[in-house]
Amino acid sequence: MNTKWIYGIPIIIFFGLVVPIGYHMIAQTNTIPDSSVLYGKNAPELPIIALHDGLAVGLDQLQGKPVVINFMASWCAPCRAEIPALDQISDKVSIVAIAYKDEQDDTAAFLSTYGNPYEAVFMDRDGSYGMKWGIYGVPETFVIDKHHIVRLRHAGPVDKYALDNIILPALEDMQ
Amino acid sequence: MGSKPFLICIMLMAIIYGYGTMPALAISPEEQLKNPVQEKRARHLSQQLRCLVCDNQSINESDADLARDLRRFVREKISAGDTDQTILEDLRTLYGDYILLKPPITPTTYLLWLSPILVVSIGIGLFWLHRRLSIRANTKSPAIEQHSHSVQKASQSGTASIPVKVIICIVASIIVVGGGIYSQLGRPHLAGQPLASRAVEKTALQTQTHQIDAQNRANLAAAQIEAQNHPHSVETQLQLAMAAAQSGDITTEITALETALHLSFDNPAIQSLLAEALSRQAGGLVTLPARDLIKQVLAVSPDEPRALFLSGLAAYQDENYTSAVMIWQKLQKLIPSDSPLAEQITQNITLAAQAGGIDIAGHIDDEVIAAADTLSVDAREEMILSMVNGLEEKLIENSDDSAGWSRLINARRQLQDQDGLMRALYGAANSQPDNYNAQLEALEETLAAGISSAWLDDAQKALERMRIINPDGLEVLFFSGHFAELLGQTDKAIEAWRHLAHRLPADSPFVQELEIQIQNLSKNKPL
Repeated sequence: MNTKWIYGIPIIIFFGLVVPIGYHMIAQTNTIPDSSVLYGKNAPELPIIALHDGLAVGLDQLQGKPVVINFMASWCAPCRAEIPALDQISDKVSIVAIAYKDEQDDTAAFLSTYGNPYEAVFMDRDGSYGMKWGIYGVPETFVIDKHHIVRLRHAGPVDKYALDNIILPALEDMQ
Repeated sequence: MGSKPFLICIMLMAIIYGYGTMPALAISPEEQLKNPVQEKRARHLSQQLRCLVCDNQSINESDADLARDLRRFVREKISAGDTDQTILEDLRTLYGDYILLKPPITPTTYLLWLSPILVVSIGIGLFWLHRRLSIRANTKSPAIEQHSHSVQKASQSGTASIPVKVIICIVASIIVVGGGIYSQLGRPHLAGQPLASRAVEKTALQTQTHQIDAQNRANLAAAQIEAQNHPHSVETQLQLAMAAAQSGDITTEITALETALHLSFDNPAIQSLLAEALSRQAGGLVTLPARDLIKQVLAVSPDEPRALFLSGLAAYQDENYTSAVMIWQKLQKLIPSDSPLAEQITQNITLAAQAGGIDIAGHIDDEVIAAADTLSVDAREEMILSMVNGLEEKLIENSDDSAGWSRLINARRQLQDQDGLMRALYGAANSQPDNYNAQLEALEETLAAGISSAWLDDAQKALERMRIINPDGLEVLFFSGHFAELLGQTDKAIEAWRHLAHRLPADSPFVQELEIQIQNLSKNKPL
């Protein structure tokens, strides 16, 4: 009796696991916003240190409207590339920058060179504030609704795809 | 004798495995706690925490910034007196269960924890099943056994060594493919040059470069002196900017251009120079300050080449490839074809078209028209109109392009250009006499817009073509009636309507309308 069919079973099990897992991993790229433990929870209060006094604002002053929180840094190359995309939505929503592990002079020079779409800019010099949001690095962007509940996290630069397919739809849902 | 080498091998493997699995720690001396007990506790705790940037390493082993931050967090909490459990809970609150290298055992992780046991069990089960089936299969008659034995022997003798011819083919293929790859990717022209002449050539090039650099520095110094002597002269500032650009001193260049801009009361040409310098400073990124300047330039001078180039580049960087293609195609028409910029523009258009999957042979559709959002309203409309007119000219010369006619019709409709739309519709209808739908579309629009004398001839020709293609077509009857009515040919009109009414279902509301129309015509019919 031919028993060789048994050897096919591990192969079938292997591909039965690899194909859906692989598809899920590949499909997840840039199609689904990143997960966050903060989803559905209140956003942490903004840092105390602002880039300039005139650029300091508390979340209570932004009450009643969605806010985009953008973790960036002057030393971060993708952060430069996402400035035009953020500028496109700067008239629709308040965008607050958190300069992650950056110095004030460097952040100011960055904004002067690449443009400033932000309503307020805060400093997180040692990265401890970023840990409250569970960020892995920069750039990362969060969207909080008008009740300041965290609704969306996007890791990586806000490129055209992310803007059109993730950020803007999320903002429209919050209107 | 045979067991000694085997034992040595096993010992070597054990040693290598032992050292190989000792992780290299990324903890720097400055991070370590002074209290050795606390430091040991910190390392033990950190060994349970995943570096979220380098997934399969603990934070003890990872060099990532985040790992360093987490190690610092753990040590701060230990120094503050928190328990291990509290620290782990705090980190789970911040980063979720994924931060733990050993995930907790919860209903969502049962399968994860049980899968190794399951897989081993399945493997054992398959092995057992295979054995049982094999044992059953082996209890057969001697004749069958002898036959299977002889078959086995024959197949073994067939597994000879690989033939020499096959080996020669494989080696030849490797040589041929390797040679092909080298010729495409390698530098065959350098192989022929002796090293000495290459060295001389290189030295000469270096000397020349040094001379040019020295000249540029001298020019810059002279320009700076001139600018100091004549601080209110736009010309000296521009010369300083140019000298700074040649020397690679971008900061001086931008300062000089900003001064020149101020002195010239925002001259558009200087604005575009400054926008270009700002973009160069940002490593080629068209930054927001540059974009502001470009918008101002194009508002005043919509054909300014540098601003158009940068505007296209900004669109490309925003991944608005359709806008980039449109803007650069407009620029392409403005500059001489033998200009050095022309070749660059052509390459850029090709790149943008490839990136956006755009057919650049006059492709215009809703998305293209809607996507030109980087220019002022007037400039946008002018650009769209010029492209649409360009397409119309091409179609007049090459009227076989039915897809092109469709695009032109669509574009004219979007632009709400009725005259242009009628031209496009009848252009399509006249150039495609066998295309029933082209004739029909033209006639439908003509009827909707009200048949005017300007298009009457073309409309009649279109109807005639429809009649040739489909003499009994309902649309033919419909339009025949309308034309006859228009031309005062009442009998013909009545005949066409009656014929049409006869062809339609009796209960159709359209039939009732036709009957009313026939009655009206009959009443008004001259006696």
